[in-house]
Amino acid sequence: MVDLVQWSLFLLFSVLVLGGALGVFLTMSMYRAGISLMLSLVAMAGLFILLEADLLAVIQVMMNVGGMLVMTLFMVMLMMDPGGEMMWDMKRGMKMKGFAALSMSMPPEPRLETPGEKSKEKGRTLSPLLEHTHNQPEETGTSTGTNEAAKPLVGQPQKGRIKLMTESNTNENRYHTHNQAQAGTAGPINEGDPYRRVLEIQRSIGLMQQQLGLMEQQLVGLQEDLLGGWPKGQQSQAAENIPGDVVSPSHQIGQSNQMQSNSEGNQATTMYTCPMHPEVRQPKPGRCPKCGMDLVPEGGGDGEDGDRPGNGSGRGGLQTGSSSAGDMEGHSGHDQGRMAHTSTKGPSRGGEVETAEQMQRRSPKAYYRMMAGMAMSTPQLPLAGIFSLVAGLLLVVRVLLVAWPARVVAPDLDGPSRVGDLLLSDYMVAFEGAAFLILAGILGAVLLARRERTRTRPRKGAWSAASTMEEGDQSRQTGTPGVR
Amino acid sequence: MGGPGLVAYLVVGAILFAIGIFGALSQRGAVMVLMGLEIILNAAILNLVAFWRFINPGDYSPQVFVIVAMTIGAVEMAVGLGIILMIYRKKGTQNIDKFSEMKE
Repeated sequence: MVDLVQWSLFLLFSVLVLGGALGVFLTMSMYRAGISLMLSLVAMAGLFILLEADLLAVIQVMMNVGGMLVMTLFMVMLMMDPGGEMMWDMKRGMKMKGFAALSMSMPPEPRLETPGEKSKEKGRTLSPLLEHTHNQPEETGTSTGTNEAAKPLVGQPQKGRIKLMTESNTNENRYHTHNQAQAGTAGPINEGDPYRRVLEIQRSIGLMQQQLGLMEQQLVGLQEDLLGGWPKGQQSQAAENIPGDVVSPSHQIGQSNQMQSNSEGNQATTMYTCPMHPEVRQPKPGRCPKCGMDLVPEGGGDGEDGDRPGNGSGRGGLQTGSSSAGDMEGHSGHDQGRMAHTSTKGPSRGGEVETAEQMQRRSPKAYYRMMAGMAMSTPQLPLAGIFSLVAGLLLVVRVLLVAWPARVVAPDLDGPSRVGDLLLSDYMVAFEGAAFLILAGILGAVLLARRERTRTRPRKGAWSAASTMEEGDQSRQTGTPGVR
Repeated sequence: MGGPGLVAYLVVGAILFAIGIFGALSQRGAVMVLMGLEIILNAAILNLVAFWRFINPGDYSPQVFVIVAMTIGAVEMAVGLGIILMIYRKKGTQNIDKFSEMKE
């Protein structure tokens, strides 16, 4: 009976330990990863108790729960999307399959939502100029604002009003034109004739979008000059501070142009775009000014490295220097809320007008890297998986093949006091050394933090020479002049 | 049968070690790599405790070893997080692929 209890407890704790450890790396929410690791370590304390090392179990819980809390705190500070909602929305918008199993995707959101509600959420939608330009002749009522009354899609034939620019309205467009032919049907989007007509119309504004894209690019460059090399979060924050009439038209035009250029490919050069903000396009690789993600080449291969999609070949796997698509960079904490806000509003409602399969067909390398990025991992994910599987198998086999000598002696019950005696007598040096290590680590961390903090107040001597650049950035960002 | 034996705990430790390696190799954020390292360390500690229990439970020296190892793990995590924070301040990113300053 005691054996049964022991085995069942062992299995329970083991499953928690291994499941928690796996869950750390299979979730796209950083916060949940920290919690999962906490669970795993507390379950390991349970294993320690089964092994009758009670003192170690208590120490494990105290140290590691505290440690994990600190770690999750760091992650929340450093990362842009610690909760994972942005990824969630992005993946849902992209209708991911296949690789999605490893990247914790959701099943695609059904497209039968009423777009009126979606368009209601967007504050700045369409500039009236563009809307009037693209009214179809057979339109009955022109929309004054783009926030039309919420007309449910199903069962109501819509006239062929082309409301092109808002991100949600691009999906609505398809439905509208589709419904011209088939009244009331709201089926899956297929590229029939009405869709092609939409594309033709959108092509006519391609030049305008390019102009705006170039202007925005120059704007980003100006910001970069102004703000210096500080985290790109600053730049994107400044980009959001700019009055909306500069940002939003291209924001919306770029949506449709993205749709068009993805299928038509009318650019001669390879344009780079952000998977989350398709309105951001520039001819050279870099970073999206809105969210800091790396730009993905639109038109096929990028010629950077030899990554093979999903095969994890050793050659491609070892090149880490390439800018992988779909990276979500960390940002400073104070613009986190704003970034998350705009980002979730951005691509969530069908902002990615092409599905994941289309992007995969178009540029497998970029798609693979974007998928790896969305799985919050490097592109070497399959290679790492294979390697760890092999290592685990080798270890397990090695463990199983050895004839371990085992004694059935139970340890005595006053283990902790014995450990304490040992620490203070035989292993005094080790104990004090460990204490000194802790002290040194904490002191170093405090010194590092203090050095950052005092940079706003310049110090004479060696530090000021080394830190003038940082100090300049610091004062520029915070807006306070350097106090002298 | 006497409950789970030494081999059972060692197998759990081995699998945990493999999971930790997977995480440390595949994750993109620096903090996630640190989590992988933490898992690896805990797998080794589990092995230590299992060996203590099943080889010679009369001598408590391995428990002292475990205490020192846990301490070192905690300090390593603290220093590592401090370094990551500094790098983040300089580079504005947490992506380890971007930490390299070598020429492409």
